[in-house]
Amino acid sequence: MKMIEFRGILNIAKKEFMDNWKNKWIVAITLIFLILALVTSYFGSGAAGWHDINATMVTMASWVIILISIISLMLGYASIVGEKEKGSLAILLSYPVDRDEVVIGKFLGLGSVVSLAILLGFGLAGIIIWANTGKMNGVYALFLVASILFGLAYLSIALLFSTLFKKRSTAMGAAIFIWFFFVMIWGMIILSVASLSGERVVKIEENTSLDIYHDETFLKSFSVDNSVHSLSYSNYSVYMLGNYIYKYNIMNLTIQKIPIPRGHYFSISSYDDKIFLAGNKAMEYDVATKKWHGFNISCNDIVYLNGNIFFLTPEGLIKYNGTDYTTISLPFICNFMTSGNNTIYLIGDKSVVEYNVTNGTYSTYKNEEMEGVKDIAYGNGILYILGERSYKFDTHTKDFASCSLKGIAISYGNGFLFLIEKNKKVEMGGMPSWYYISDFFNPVESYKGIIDVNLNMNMIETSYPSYYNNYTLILSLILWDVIPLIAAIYIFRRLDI
Amino acid sequence: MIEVKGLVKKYRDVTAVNGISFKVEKGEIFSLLGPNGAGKTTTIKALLGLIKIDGGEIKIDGKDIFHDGKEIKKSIGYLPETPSLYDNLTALQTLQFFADLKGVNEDCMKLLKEVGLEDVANRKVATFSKGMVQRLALAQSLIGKPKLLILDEPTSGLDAIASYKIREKIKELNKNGTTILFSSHILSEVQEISDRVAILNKGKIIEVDSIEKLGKKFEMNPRLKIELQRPSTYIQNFVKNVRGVEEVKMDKNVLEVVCNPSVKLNVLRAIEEAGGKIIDFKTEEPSLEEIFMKMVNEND
Repeated sequence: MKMIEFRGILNIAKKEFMDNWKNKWIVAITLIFLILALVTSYFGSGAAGWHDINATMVTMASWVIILISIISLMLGYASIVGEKEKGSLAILLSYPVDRDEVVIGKFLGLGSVVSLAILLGFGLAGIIIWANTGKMNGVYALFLVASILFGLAYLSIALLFSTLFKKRSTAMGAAIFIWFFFVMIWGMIILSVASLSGERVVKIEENTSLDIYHDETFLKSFSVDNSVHSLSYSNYSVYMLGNYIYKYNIMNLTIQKIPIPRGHYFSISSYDDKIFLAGNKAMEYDVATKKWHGFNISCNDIVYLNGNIFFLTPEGLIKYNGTDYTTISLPFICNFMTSGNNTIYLIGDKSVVEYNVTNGTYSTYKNEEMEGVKDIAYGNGILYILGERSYKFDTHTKDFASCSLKGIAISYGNGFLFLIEKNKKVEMGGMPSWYYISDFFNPVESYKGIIDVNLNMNMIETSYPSYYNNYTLILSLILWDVIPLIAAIYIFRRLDI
Repeated sequence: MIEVKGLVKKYRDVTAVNGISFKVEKGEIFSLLGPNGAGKTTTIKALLGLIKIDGGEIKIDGKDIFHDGKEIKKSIGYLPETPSLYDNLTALQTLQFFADLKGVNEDCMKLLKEVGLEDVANRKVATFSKGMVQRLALAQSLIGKPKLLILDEPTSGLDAIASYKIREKIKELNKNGTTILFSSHILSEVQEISDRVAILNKGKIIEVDSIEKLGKKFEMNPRLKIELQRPSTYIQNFVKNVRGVEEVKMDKNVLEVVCNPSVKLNVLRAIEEAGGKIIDFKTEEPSLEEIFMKMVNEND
C-alpha cells in the first residue's frame, strides 16, 4: 500500500531548495563562513600572514560547530510546523504525495542548502588559502564532508522538532535550547558531573597543559597530570615526566603510564625506545623490554647522542660510551642541555654553548638578556630557549631572536613543538561526539585519545584506547543524521494537519 | 463520488465532528453550510486524509481515503480556507511545482490567465496581495482538471467582486462536469450556487436536502423591503409573477418580497416596469443563527 516514490521526494526537495537557498540569513551566514575562514587563515594564530590549511581547519572547526548548527536549525525548525501553521502543508498533502516523501524531500532539499552554504563558504576559502599558500590537503575535503554531515545532523534534529511541536514558536524555542545546550552548556554539565564523581576531578584554574605548536603556530592544548614538569619526544611518542612517565603515542592514540623508581627526577629525554631520566640518580628505561637501569650519577640533565649518554653535572659533562666515563669540562656551570646534529647545546651564564661531539670542541654565544631559562629544545636548525623571555637561537647564523613561547618544558619532534605549561586555563569536559570534529582535523594526525585522558589520566594503569577515530566520528555523525529523521517521519505519519 | 458514513473526529476532549454522514453525487455542487466551529473544515480535512479520524468511513470514488489516498488525490483539487503558498517561489514556479507533484503536464501560464494572474507570473508569491494568493491557490486546485474540487470557504476574506468571480468560476467548472464540494458560512452564497446542501452545527448534520426544499422549509430566502412612492396591487401582482419570487406582501407603502437571492435585481426591474417608483429599499436576510434555531427546534 505504501510506496515511496523518488519522483515525489525529488519534487519536494527541489521546491525546498528553491524556496530557501536565497534566504537572506543563509546568504549572510555563508558570507560569515567565508570571511571567518579567510580571517582565520590570515590572522589565525598570532602573526598576520597566510597560514596553511591545517592550522586554519583547527581554528575553524569550532566555528563550524556554532555557525552550521545555527544554519541548520534555522532552516529546519519551521519547515513542517511553519507550513502547517500557514496552511500550505494542507495544500501540499492534498497532492498525490506520501508523507514520508515530504519529510525526506524536505531533508534533502534543505540539506542541499546547508551543503551549498558550507561548500561555498569553506570551499571558496579553501581555494583562496590554497592560492595564497600553495598548500592543500586531502584532509580539507574530509573536513568539508564531516562539516556537511554535522550540518545535516542538526537539520535532522530541527525537522524532528518541527514535527514534534504543534507551534512554530515552541519549535523555535526548542531549537534555540538545543543549540545552547550542545554548543554552550553540555561541556559545563559534563565537567560538573565529572567533579561530582570524585576521581575525575580536574581543576580548570590550575591545570598543567600540553600545548602543541606547528611552526610556532599554536594548535591545541590539553590538560595533563599536574605533576608533569618535563617532556621529550621520540618515535611518535611524547614522554611526559611527572609522578609517572606518561607516554602518549600520537599515532595510535594510546596513553601509557609507566611507573618510575623512587627518587627525584628533574628531566626526561628519549631516543627511540630508550628513556633517560636526570635526577639524584640517573636512570635508563627500555620501553620494549620494560627494564630499568640505574647510573651512580646525579645530574641536572641527560642526553643520548651517537651511542653515548651525556650527563650534565656541576662538574661538567660526563660522557658514557657503554663502558667508560669521560668528563668534559665546560667554561662555566650549565643547567640545561639538548642534542641535535652531532652537537650538544647547553645553557649557562646567559650563554649558549655548542659542543661538537665529533671533534670535542665548543664555542659560546652570549645573550645578556637571557634570564630564568627553564628548558631548551633543538629542531630544524633552531634552538628554542624557554625562559622568562624566550629566544630562538639560529644555529647557522648564531643569531638570537625573541619568540613568544611560554611554558616550563619544551620538546621538538616531527615539525611540532610540544610545551608543558602551568596554570593554564584549558577547555575540558566532554561534548557530544560531534564536538570532536574539532579534534578530528588536527594536523597531529589525530590525537583525540588525549581528551579522554584529561578526565581519566589518574585512573589509567596501562594503556588507554581511543574512543574516537575518523570512522567512528563519521559513523556517529551519520547516525545523528538518520535517527532524528526517522523519528520525524514516524511522527509526521500520524500528524493532524 | 463522495460517501461519508458516521465520521467522528475528536481533538483531545472536544468532539469536532460527531457522526456525520452524507453523499455527494457526481456532477453536483454540494455545500457544507454552518457557522464557524460547526465542523466544516474538519470534515473537509478528513475527506483529504489530512487528519486521522476516530470513527466512520470515507470513500471517494469507491476507494478508502486512508488506504488509497495517493490514487484518489490524483483526481482531486483542494483550496483551503485562507490559503498560503511558498513565499520565495514565483506564481509560475508554484504551479509548476504542484503540476510536477501531481505528475501532469500542465500549461501553467494558461492556468494563470484563467485566474487573471498572467501579468505577475514571474513575481514572487511574497509580494502578492491576499486576493492574488487566493486566486493562485484556486489555480493550483485546478491543476490536472480534477474530477472533484474541494473548496473550503473559497470566498472568505474576499471583497464582493472577487467573491463574485470565484462563484462564477465554480459554476463554470461545474458546467464542464466537475463535482464540487464547498463549505461556507454565508447563506446567500450557498443558495446561489449549490444544488444540495448539508447544514452543520456543533459537529452534526442538521439537514441535508436540495436548496429549494430547504429554502422553503426554513424560510431561508431573503426578504426585500421596498418603499414605493405610489404602491398598487398591480405592482404587487406584477412582482408576484417574477420567477423565483415566493411571496409578496404589502404593508402601507412598503412592498415585502421573499425571493431567491439570484432574482433580487429582477424584482426591482419588474417594479419599475410596472410603473412603480422606488424611494428606498433594503434586504433582510435571515441569519444563519435564526435558521439554526428553527432547525434545532424542529429536530427536537
